[in-house]
Amino acid sequence: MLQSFFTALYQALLGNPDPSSLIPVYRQSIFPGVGLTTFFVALGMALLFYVVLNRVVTTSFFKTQHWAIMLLLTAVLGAIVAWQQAAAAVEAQLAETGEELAVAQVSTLKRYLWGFTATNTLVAVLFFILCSFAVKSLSVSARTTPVRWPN
Amino acid sequence: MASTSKRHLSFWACGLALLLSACDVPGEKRAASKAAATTAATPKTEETTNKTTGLRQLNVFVDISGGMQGFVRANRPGDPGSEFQRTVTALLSDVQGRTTQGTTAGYYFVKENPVVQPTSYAELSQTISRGIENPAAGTEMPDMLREVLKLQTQKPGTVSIIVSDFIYGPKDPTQTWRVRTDVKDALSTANPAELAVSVFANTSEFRGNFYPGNRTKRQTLTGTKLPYYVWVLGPAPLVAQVNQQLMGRLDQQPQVHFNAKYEAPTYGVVTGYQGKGEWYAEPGPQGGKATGVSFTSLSAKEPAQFVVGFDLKHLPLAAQKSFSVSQLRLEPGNTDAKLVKTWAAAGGPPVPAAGRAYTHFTQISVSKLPSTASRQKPQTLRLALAPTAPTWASTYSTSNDSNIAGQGPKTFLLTEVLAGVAESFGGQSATGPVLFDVPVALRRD
Repeated sequence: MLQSFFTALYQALLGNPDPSSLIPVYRQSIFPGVGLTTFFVALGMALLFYVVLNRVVTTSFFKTQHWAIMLLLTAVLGAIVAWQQAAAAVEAQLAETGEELAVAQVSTLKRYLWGFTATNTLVAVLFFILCSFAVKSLSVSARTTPVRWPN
Repeated sequence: MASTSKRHLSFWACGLALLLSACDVPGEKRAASKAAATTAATPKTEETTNKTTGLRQLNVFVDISGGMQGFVRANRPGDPGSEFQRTVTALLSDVQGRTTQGTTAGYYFVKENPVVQPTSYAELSQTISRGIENPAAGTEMPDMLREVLKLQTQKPGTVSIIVSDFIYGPKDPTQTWRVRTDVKDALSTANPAELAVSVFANTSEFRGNFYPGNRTKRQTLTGTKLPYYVWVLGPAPLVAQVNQQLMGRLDQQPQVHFNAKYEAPTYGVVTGYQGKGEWYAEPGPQGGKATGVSFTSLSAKEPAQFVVGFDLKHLPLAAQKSFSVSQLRLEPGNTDAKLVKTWAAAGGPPVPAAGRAYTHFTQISVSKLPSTASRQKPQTLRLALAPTAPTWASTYSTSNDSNIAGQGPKTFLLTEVLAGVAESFGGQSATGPVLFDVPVALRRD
């Protein structure tokens, strides 16, 4: 379920993984692994902003620009998670099978990895926004950041 | 406010550091880590699964009739012994070695009245190395087979090993044409479903009297090479096991296997090895090795090539050698799959880690696959290896052995003897059932 959801999500934006011999690694480990991690990072950042910084403790870090900083940070973390996990999984797979990639394949691999990193940055932003709206009602001082709705 | 901006800064610094440490491209970093991976993989040598289950008794029969005397002459100090003496002594020693591993061994002389006479390992081994002292006048080969099978059926899990020249020499030389039927009748005393016969041929120098099968005048030979045979009889899986574990030194020799059944070999599609096109390997329905291929795009313009590896360690060496484009059959199903080439691990392009489990490879090309070949309904192609006909048998056979010294290593009516064996298995030729027949599932991604 998770596998097909994340495969559909990423492939809708990226197309099939390239080189195609790595398709099983992407679909079985990279897409669901990175997708889930990104979701929990986004959720964690939203909770940090709305609950920790603006309920458990009271800080002056509650404005929309602060929220935007958290959004940016989540995006960066999403990019890092994507690159690191994907590169490590691809690396492990290549070492395990002993597959030799041709020069052209190495460049398509790089291109796909960068594409995946960029896509996951967007996914992280999306998840953070969704999580923000899910948890903002738990906050005390940031209930109306970035917008009043739905409170 | 000052405290918050400091916090921002540390967040960014932290993120940047992570980002920088992450920037490695897999293709570039791989050379170093690959070396580490190969060294880690090599100690994982295959476990020799000592399947002693099933094999409970090994009976060894050595023909010591007068006709065998020439193979086992007494040697002078420093003589290397005849090929026969070296091979059979080592074989007996290996059989004896198995007795500490839960298999009991029985040793028998093949003589006359009674045809098989029990003896001990020491006595049999000594007889072969010192020479036959009281040779039997001659043993009728079908009688020998009958007695061997009688002993064999007494105890389940028995494999019989017969060492003899297998010259068919009936008392009445006008009856030699009956050989086929006689051999068939002798073997038919056992249930053919529970019997497999492997025949290994070998030659050894022969010094002494040779008694032709057609009962013509005896000939005295001084070191001419003559054939002798080692037959292995028993239930198919046990014969395969004995061939594997005890017949190693006859591996390279001419051989033929009747009614043999082999476990389907481990096989799988090898990723990243001599491949082309857009596809990836997929594990079979029960997981494990990749026995399927999914194509992300496939057309006449974008044909694909993939490699299937086989682990043929458990097949006889002759069968392993026969792994070739001419012997390997590809049943393409509803595709246009074709065999491109085959090679053995040792003689082909360097094998990557993914293919280390396999000993032989075949490259297959496809360009057409029905668009309905989905995950649920894959197209199945089958790969089967047909056994080769033993062409050596006709070279080893003669219909007149009255001048054996001039003929070289030949056995009287050998082809007829082997035909009799084949007939006892319902006319199954030695090219009989396939050595393996395995499916590969093709899908569109």
